Amino acid sequence: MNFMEILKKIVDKDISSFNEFKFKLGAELSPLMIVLITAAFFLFLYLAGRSTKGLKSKRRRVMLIAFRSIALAFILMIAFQPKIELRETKELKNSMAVLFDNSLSMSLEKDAKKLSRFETVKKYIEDNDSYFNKLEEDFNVDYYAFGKELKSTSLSEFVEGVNADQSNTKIGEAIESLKKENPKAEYTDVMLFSDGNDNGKISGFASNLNTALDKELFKKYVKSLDIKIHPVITEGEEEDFPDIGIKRVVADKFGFIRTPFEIEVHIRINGMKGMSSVPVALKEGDNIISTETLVLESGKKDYTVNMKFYPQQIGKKVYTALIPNYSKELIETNNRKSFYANIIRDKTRVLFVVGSPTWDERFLRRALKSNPNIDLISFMILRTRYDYLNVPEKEMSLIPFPTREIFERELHTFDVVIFCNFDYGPYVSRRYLNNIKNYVEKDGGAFVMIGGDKSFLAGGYFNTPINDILPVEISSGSTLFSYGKFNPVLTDTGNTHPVLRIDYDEDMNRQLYEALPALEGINTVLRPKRDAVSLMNHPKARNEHGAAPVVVISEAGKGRSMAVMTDTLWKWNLPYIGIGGSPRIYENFWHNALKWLVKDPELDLVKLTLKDTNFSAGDAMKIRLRVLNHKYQPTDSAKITAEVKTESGKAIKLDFKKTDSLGEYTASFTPKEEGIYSIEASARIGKKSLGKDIHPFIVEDAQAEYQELELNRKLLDDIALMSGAKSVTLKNGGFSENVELDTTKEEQLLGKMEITFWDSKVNFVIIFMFLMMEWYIRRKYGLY
Amino acid sequence: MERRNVQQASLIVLVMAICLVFMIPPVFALQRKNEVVIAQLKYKGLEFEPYSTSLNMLAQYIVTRTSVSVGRERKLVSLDDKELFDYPMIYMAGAYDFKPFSDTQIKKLRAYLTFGGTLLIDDASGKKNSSFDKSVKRMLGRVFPSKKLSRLGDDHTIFQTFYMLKRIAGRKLVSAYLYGIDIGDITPVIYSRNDLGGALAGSDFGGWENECTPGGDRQREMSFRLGINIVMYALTANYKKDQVHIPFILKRRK
Repeated sequence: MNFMEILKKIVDKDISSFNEFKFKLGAELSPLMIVLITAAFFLFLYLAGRSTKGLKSKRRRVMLIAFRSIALAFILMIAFQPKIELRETKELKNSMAVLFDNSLSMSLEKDAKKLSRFETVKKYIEDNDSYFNKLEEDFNVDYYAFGKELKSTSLSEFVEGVNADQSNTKIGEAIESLKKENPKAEYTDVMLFSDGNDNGKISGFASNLNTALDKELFKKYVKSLDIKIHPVITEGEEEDFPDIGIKRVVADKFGFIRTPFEIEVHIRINGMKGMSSVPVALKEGDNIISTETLVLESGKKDYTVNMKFYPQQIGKKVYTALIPNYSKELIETNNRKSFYANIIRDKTRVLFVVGSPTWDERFLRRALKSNPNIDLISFMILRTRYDYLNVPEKEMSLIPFPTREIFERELHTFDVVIFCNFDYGPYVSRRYLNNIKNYVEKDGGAFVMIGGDKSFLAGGYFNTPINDILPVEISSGSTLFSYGKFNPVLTDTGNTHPVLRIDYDEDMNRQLYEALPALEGINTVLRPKRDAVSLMNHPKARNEHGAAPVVVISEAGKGRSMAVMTDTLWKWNLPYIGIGGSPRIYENFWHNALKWLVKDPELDLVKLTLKDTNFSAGDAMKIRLRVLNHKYQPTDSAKITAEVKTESGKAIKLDFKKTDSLGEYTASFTPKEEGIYSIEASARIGKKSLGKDIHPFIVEDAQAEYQELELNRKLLDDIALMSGAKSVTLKNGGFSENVELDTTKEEQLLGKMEITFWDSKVNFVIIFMFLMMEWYIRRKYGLY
Repeated sequence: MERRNVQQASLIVLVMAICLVFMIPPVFALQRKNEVVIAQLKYKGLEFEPYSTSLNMLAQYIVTRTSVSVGRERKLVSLDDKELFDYPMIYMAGAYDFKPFSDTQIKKLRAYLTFGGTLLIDDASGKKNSSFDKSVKRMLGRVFPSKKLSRLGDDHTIFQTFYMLKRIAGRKLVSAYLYGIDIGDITPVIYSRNDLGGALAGSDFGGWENECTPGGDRQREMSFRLGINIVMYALTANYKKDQVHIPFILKRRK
């Protein structure tokens, strides 16, 4: 008979449901108090013994001490308030999830007679009912299939109805989804049947383990999943897949125009016997921009090819690394890999050609040199053929004007070409002027002509290729250059244009320009060209076409041009300081002008933004468009025209809708197949165009899944280790070793009851009775 | 009678033509070119313009030898003139001490030099430690209290802006060096102690106002070259230090 059975007989309550008991003290006593009370007990006991020394009869002494002891014991019991806690408990099974990878890479097979990885898993399930039955006995087991997404399933459903057709393997994301899918389950373990060809978050961490910090971040991510991962590395019967594939391309998200852009193309070659080299190409659109030859080494599978190219245009670009398709290959879709890069300017490279040194040149050069974002290359004509030459060359510091090098070889390296009071005749052939025209119109360069007695008509530019890109018409019959002071007047467009904007308040902006010192001298031109915009006019000088323009800008083919019809803008600098101003307006004018000329994205009125640059087919993507009006204020009255172009040239219209934020529009698009896409959005208000923006993006699915065909044991081993588990291999119908699942079971408390004895009235009676009996005997035998 | 009519008609046409000329807005009236003008600084002292023809002669040489169009008109400005900042290069010459500039003038000169103006100072005394030299040092000490007037090294851009110069010149060779004050990589204050203006000054008879000693005409030629280089420096700053010039300059320095 155990204690519980005895208790059942003593207690007059039904305690049959309780299966555990515990002794406890009811009094909340500090350890010190317990010690003190216990010490007091023994002290009283000792005193009781001592006080009976006068008795000769041993029996009587023992009796007295026994009475005292019993009374004290009961007092002690009341002090400690002991109780018995009865508990009704139940052992709980841990929850675990079994995840089956049903991505495309699981279905790889070279020989149809042999089992693929996926078929190997299914066969194991079919042949090992007992394993899963035992698993379900020990755990609460949930089954899931996963690829791109996690989907709940059962063993039978998985075997009969699930195919390896998912376009991604996202192990990390799948485990993260477990909590969302079944938040109450509190899984402790995951059994993961997979080939490890992950292309989600985990591979993102694992592919970039260059530093200790990278490794730490990877570990931190796996730990954050807060679950033991037991990978079951699933091998198919045939694993030697012949293939050449681009695993990944390592490239920066940003590149600089005309600056080497270096990339790493990681290539995996497997089972391609007899090959000695592989050509690797890099394309932008249909143009091959770089090539390399990969020389193969015996027994080596992984190669890194370093490639370099010089981006020639700014903007958002998609480049594609590719290798040829070979007939022996199992998969061909992994022979190309696209990546996105935003090509920007690190510095604006300016070619500054000066006809003769003047104060205008002096202050412009000073302003450009002071801007660290400008790389200035200057050429000044310090001596003409008409000047006194009777000095040996070696006593002079003059250098020849390298016109051929500049205007033939290096022209494309400049973002802006400035002719400052420069008459080209003695130095630059007409052929080079044509090069400048092509550089602007075809290559998107920018050209500025600054006035003076050697510019425009006075510089002999009438009827030259430069005339075609100038924003003003020059006429052979008009005055070359006119002198006289004047304060230019900002046109309405000029007052809000970024080139002349100093203050967002239009009145204030105009006032700032009105306060500047007068300019002196103007190159007379016929008028601004049809599509050109005059930003500043002469206050009085007019001809039949209107006011004489001072600063005019225009689009010129793919590029832009600007004409400044005076060589005294420097008066806005030092002379303005002389009357209490600052050089800010002068410097801002030129820095803003250069920004506008090079189409700095900061000044774009229409701007597309995407959350990412790589998307999956079937995923809805959100496209944002920010639109500013000509005054560079956000507008919601723009009419948007937008479309998505596929790689094959098919155009799909996009419907942009206004958002709550002024100037922001959104549209959504769901790409259906992989490839390189491009969004083109343009906006206009009334008939006036606000410009357009182009944003390419990449859709890659199956390609991602076939980047690596081989099992990725290392990745699965690493995940297991980091999560505190170990991976096993499923091969030839069984596991290489036991999966060590966490079998520790939790106990659930269903109910409890407390039985106390100290608070019974009988206890007080007993104490009283024994003390009285002791007192009586003491009195009787003459003890005090 | 007919002759009178012709005379009257001619007179009317002439008057009309004159009226027409005055009616044309100033912008279309052909005036001078936008030339580079170097102004002479006027200050309170015994003689602020020791040679009235120096700048004119220098301008003449610049025009004939370089592409720079320099105005030959005589232009005097004081530190109190509103026009001071319209002349990014000023020339200050003298042989004697001068009255200290007022605080306002010093402040104005500091702003002028800090924001792009160039000051060429020329000691015309032909002596070491002249009273002018002392006044100049006192004045510069107030304009830039934290900066020191120091010797310009042989590799200073000023010695290669147009001519390759190995030594400096002037009417007398009092000092072998030019001195200056730097702000960043620019030297807005250039100081010659060799009476550069004295070497350039022309006489009323088509010759030269002063002998150049000890080098004679060669020394005068080198003085003009130095003057041209200084003006070129004021106009082009460190242009000759641009990368494109360096191989040529190094070759010619050998």
